[in-house]
Parts: sequence; structure tokens; C-alpha cells
Amino acid sequence: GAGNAGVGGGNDFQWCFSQVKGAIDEDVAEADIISTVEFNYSGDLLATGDKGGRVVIFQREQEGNNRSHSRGEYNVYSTFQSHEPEFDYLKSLEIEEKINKIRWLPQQNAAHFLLSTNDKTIKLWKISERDKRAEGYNLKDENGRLRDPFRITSLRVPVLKPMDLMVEASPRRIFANAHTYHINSISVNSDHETYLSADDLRINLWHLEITDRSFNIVDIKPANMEELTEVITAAECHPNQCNVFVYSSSKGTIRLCDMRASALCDRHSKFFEEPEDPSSRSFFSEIISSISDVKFSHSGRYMMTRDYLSVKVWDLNMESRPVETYQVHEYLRSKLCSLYENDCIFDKFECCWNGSDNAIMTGSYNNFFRMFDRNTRRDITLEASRESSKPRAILKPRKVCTGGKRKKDEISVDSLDFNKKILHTAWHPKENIIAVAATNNLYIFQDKIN
Amino acid sequence: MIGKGLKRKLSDDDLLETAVMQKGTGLYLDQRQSVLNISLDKFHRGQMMAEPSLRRSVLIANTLRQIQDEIRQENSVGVLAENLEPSNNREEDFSLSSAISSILKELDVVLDGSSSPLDTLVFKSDRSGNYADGYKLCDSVFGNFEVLSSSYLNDVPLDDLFLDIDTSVYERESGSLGSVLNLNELEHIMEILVGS
Repeated sequence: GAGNAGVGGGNDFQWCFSQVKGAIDEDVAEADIISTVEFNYSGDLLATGDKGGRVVIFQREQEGNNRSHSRGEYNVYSTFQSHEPEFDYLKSLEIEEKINKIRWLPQQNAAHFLLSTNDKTIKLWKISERDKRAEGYNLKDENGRLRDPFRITSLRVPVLKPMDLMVEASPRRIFANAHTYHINSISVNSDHETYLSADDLRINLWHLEITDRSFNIVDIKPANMEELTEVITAAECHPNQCNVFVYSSSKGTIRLCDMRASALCDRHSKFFEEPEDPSSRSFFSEIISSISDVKFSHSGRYMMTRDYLSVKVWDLNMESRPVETYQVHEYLRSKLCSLYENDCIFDKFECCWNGSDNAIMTGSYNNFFRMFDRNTRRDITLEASRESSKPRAILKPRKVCTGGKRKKDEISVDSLDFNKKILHTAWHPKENIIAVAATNNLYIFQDKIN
Repeated sequence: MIGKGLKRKLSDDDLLETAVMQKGTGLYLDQRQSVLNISLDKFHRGQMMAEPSLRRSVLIANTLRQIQDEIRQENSVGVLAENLEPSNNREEDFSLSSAISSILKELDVVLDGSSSPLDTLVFKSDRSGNYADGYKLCDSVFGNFEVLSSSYLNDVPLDDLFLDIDTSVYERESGSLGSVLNLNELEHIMEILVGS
């Protein structure tokens, strides 16, 4: 059939529109541009960060509500200002409030915790619910004003009364002043006690309880900055080996490091690099090899990297080349000069795994995003657009025409809108629900209800 | 920043787009020159941005370095003298190379007043035939980084760094390379090396 069957969940599987969040205006305020999207460990919470430094958390409605057709919609749970713009007077530089990354901590009690970071400062936020309040204080009256002690003639025990649910976000830790360069990644360790933060040249390891110091575990800053040819682009902790992490570079390499080997992990344990194909060498070869994202599979056996034109899956036991390579938008290879000129070649696309590691997803231009099924080798291109935003509407696969005659429903490369970029996507950890950030809108798609 | 969508008609530019080209052909040299110009402009603009991206700057500088290495290799081996390119291409390559070197030299002088202009132009090669050591062309690019990214660390006002750059060298009017110091000496040295 013509449906989008087969990717991510078997042959009968199809993606449908579920919800879209954000304003519809053509005129998008820069502050509203979504800069990161992340599900928590259970998938019940979905957090977004934007260029204005705000975090919005959506919560999935419990199923079994009256409205049986809404299979767990996501609604706003909490909104707060995480970071504010700052000015560094010493260096005469503005520090953007844009949220670069959000990472959830595993839930340990009723409250939820997440780390959010801008270019310089990481913050630990506690999000907690309050649905009761105490009434009948002795020392305060009903309005909270202190009562005159002389007037108190009897004691009573305050009682807890229910109140409308209030969700409060409070900053519990601020991890500052540890990064000279711009932070691109944060990653919570599997020990749930530490996390790493990476900037262009350094990676630091923090303890969640300690804000006044961090350990520097990677430093690639050359003694002489004139010799700088490579920067760190992303880093992640291994999902179950708490001593292992990886970081990627602008030269298309990935280094896996073991923190048990030495305090400063400048020497990698493994070095992943695919040899260059000499027949496709161009002036832009290095730029397009720059890795924009690295993600471990949930199993911890594989990792995935995103460079400008492709997504690669690596087996951690094989450093010489990836085990799988998926072309995201190969038709852009002949346009690299223009994309260099208009800076699009520097766009940093992210990628993500589904919960069972058999499918991967990444974004492209024109609000297209791509999904690849690792088992069936099928792939699909879908679009996040208002046009296909009818409730439970099945998404139609999209196709880019690369030359010659354009078929009906195809779009030619030259008609692609390079301002509509899908840089951030997230996949629910257990179910077939995906969140796709398209500029200032967050689209949520689900599998079709059979 | 939301810019305009990219829609381009088929043009001569598209002919330059072909990613893989035969080295040494006119089309290749045209594209190289185009990329060189774009890169210089981007590098310059990138450093002037409110928040320079180190990754972007490094990638652009590496692209610049790659092209300059190629040009230098061709100059030293005399490849251009052997092929059938019209002579004005060679001159443009020389003048571009001179332009790059003088711009970067200016930057280098501004950043590190101790470097001596003519010394830096001696083409010394190390054992493997690389010209990196004696020629501070690419070194000064990253010296630039040090100052600008450690305008994180120093209080060098960004404006002062650009006072001495003569951007007229970006213009491709033949023969008018502006008031760059020692231009004649640069060209003279280039000519000697190529043996023209």
C-alpha cells in the first residue's frame, strides 16, 4: 500500500499525527525556537528547551480517561525559565540563554529531576507536585500573616487539605564556571551520581551533589592554539558501564574512553574512524564528516553517529568502520558549495534510537525527518507540517526528486526550504511515540491505533 | 536568525557545485577559487560574530589550509607552469595566495608584534616536504583563535584586531591589491619560486 508501513514497528505499522504544540504564526520569535527535546525514562514526561532559556515539560495523560480515543495525550505540566541571558564583562561577550541540552535523571522519589544547560552553566532542576496544603497554623493566620503571640490562647494541630495541583520547579544545583568554551553535551552516568559535560575542547565529570568542583577528564586544547584543528562535538556516557564514555570530533572520529584507565582520559581506549572514500573527496569532505551527535543504543552494544549527510551505526567491538550506514539526504552532496555559502553545512542534526534499538530517526530540511528500520532495511521520509496535522491522520511518505522528471507529490531539491530544519527529535523509550521539533513547533506522532 | 529560503535557478554556479572534480582542470580551479573566497569571507565574518563558534571557525580554517596547501604544492612543483591554463589564472592564484598571506600576516603582526614579515615568507620544508614550519600562513590563523577565543581570557578588544586588515585584497580587480605591505616583494618571491 501507499502507507508508511513497515518502519519501526513491523509491517502493519503506520505513523499518525497526534498533537502539535506551539504557535501557528508565520512570524516566529527567535526565543520560541525549540533547541532540545527529551523524553524521561518512563516516557511519561517530555521536556523541551528553547532559545529563550525556557523549559516546557509535557506530561502524558493517564490512559483510561473518559476520552478513549485520546491515547495518552501530552499536556503542559510545567513551564519555567531555566537560564537567563548573561553578559561576561571580563571577556566582553554575551552568554546566550539558549538551552543546548536537557537530560533527565532517573526517578528516585515523587519528584522529577533534570539537568539543563546553556553554553556555560548547567542547572539541576527539581520538579515537584503539591496537591495539599496545611491549614490551621498556630502562629500564622489564614492569610499567612503572623499572629500576635499574646492572642494565642489555645493550640491546634494543623490539618492537610487538598488543593489544586501545583507543579513547582526549583533549581537545586548550579554548576558554573567550569567551561571556557561552549557546552555541547551533558550526559548522566549510569551510576546516577555523576554526569559529564563537554565543550569544544574539554570534558568535565561532575558529582550531582557537588557544584564547586569538577574533574577534567578530557582536554584537547593544544598548548599552542595555532595548532588547533579539531574540536569535540558531542559526548555521552555508556548506558550501563559507568566507567565508559565516548566523544566525537569535528574530524569524524569517535573516541571511547575508560575512566578507570587514568584520571585524564586523553588517551582513548578505542578509536573509531571510517577511512575516507577517495573517489568522493571534495573541499567539503572534512566539514561533512564532522559528527554532530553520538548516541549509544539502549543495549550499550552499539553507538550511532550523525554527520552531515548520513547516520552510521557502529559496533563497539569494531573500530575500523561502521556496521551500518544510512544516507539521510544524499541529494545534497552536489549542493555542498551553496550549503557552505549559506552556512547550512554547519547545521548540527541529532539522531535517536527507538526503545528496542531496531529503528533510528534523524531530521533533515524542509521539515522532513527520516526513519530507518535496521532489520528490514526500509526507510521512510515524513514531514512535520500543519497541512498533515489532522487528528490521527496517517502521515504520507515524502520523496525528493533528484533529477529529471518530477513525479506528482515529489519535491525537487531546489524547492526545499533550508530554513525549515528538523535538528531535534526524540523517541519514547518504550512505545512508538515520537516528538519532532520543527522550529517553534513540537509535533507528536504515534502509531496508528488498530 | 531566520533567513530567506534557498531557491536557486540553474546557473554557472551550479556547474561549480559538482562535488568531485578532476584536479587541475579549469573548472576545478574555478571552484577552488570560489571556495577560497567564500572561506576567507566566512572566516572573517565568523570572528566578528557576537558569539564566534569555535567549531565553525576550525572547519573553515581547515578548508582554507587545505586549499592553500594545494596552491603551495602546485607553485613549488610547477604544475601550473606545465598545464595549458591561461596565464591570468596563475596570476590570480598568486595574488590570492599573496592576499591570504598578507591578511593573515597582518593579523599575526597585530597579535604578536615580534614576527618579522619577510622571515615568515621563506619556504622551508621539513623532511616530509611540508612547508608548514617556515611559513606562518596557517599558524597565524590559529594564533587568531587564541586571541579571539581567549578574549574569553584576555581583554583584547575585538575591534582593534581588525583595524589593520585591508579588505580591499578581497576584490578581484587584477593588479589592484590595495595597500598591503610588501606586496611587490611577495609577488617577486612567488615568481622566483615558480621560475616564471
